[in-house]
Amino acid sequence: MNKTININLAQIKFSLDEKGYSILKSYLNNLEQLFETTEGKEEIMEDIEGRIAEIFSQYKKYNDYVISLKEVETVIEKMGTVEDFSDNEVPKENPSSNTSKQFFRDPDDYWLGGVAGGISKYFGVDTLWIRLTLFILFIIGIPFTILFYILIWVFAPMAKTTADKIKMKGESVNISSIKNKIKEEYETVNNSVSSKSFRKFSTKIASIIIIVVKFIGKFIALFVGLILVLIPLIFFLLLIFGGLVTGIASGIFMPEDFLDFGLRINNPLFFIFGFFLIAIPLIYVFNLGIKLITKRTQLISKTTNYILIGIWIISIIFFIVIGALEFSNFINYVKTIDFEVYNNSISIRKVITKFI
Amino acid sequence: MKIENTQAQMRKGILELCILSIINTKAKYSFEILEALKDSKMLVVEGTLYPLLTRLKNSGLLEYHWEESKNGPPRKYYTITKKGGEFLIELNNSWDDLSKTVSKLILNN
Repeated sequence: MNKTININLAQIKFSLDEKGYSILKSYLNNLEQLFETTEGKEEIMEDIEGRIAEIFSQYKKYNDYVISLKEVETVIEKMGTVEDFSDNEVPKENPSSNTSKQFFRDPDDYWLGGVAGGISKYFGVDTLWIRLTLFILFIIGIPFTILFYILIWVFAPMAKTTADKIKMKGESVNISSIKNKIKEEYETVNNSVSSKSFRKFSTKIASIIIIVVKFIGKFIALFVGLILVLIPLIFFLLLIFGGLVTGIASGIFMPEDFLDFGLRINNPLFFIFGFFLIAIPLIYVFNLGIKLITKRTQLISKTTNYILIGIWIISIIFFIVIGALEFSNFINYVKTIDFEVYNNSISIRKVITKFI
Repeated sequence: MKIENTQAQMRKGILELCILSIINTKAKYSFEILEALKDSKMLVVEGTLYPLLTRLKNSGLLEYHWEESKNGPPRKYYTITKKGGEFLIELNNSWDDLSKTVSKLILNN
């Protein structure tokens, strides 16, 4: 008795034997990865799937016919293996899909969350040494080790695709590296049976811990996010409705001279640049808060980002320049007042002496 | 050094010429192109034809239209474009030159 799986190839429904299905699926996945950098990837995949659908249609002798593993293998043989494709394809290697390493948790080398495996790939040190170090740190009694481990576990992504795994090791993602990787994986699947039972147990505990930590993490993120969203909102609200209130409040809390200085500034640009100076960082705080709450990553586009940073830098410069100019004006003003006061007192004294 | 690799390299260079020649007179769908190529042992496996067709299409040397098929999904029928026709003439000329000069070279040595 066999399970059948229904698939849809080029808009046509086929029933496949379970094994045949998994073989076909991995075949198509591998091809897709192979054409990752090729121009017109979607079209090539469509053509290939269309052709496979056509061959399957010929096999389908009656309506409920289930396509067998053998037939799937025949089709793959006809179409060509991944190696056949990569020998023929000479794709432009994308220089930007470079050799820079990215941190991933390693799904093929793990006891708990693949953190040690990930660290070892990242630094190119054998996993054993990383585990030993972590273990020793843990024994010495650094509770941070656990926290550190769990944090990485929760926040670092698992290397899911073959391309991820290659990036994890810092090799460049191209056809030959993917090809080698896929081969390597087929081989390691057979070798890794030994530690499986321990892994099953640890995976279960791990998934429970992950759920709990993720829940707590989400809660904290939500809380912090809310605060971060509220701070700028309150600031802007105060600015709009409570300019007067803040004016009075600053009168209470600020030294008199300082307030005097503030009130004597006539140049409105000083306040406009001052506004930008505070508002732009607050926009980022707001953005961070939204990010934490909604998990959306691209709230501020790259161009907006550059514009905002540009305005901010200009604001700093003008704020300082105008501030300095105004301040020197202010000092002159204070001096003239003092002078006037001094003069007046002299003239008063003169008047008094006259009377005396 | 494997002889298969060298042979594959030789075929690869003239594959475009062959495909364009096949669709030069009449619109053909991918399987017909494939059969023609297989007859002359130009291609070993089917799948490798599709990336090639896409590349030629993206270069504007050929175009296609869809036609319904009685058994199976609709088929893409490929036709040569004007640019493709000019390209083909050029390729034909260089093929003539190449085969003549190479044969001569082999005979003379």
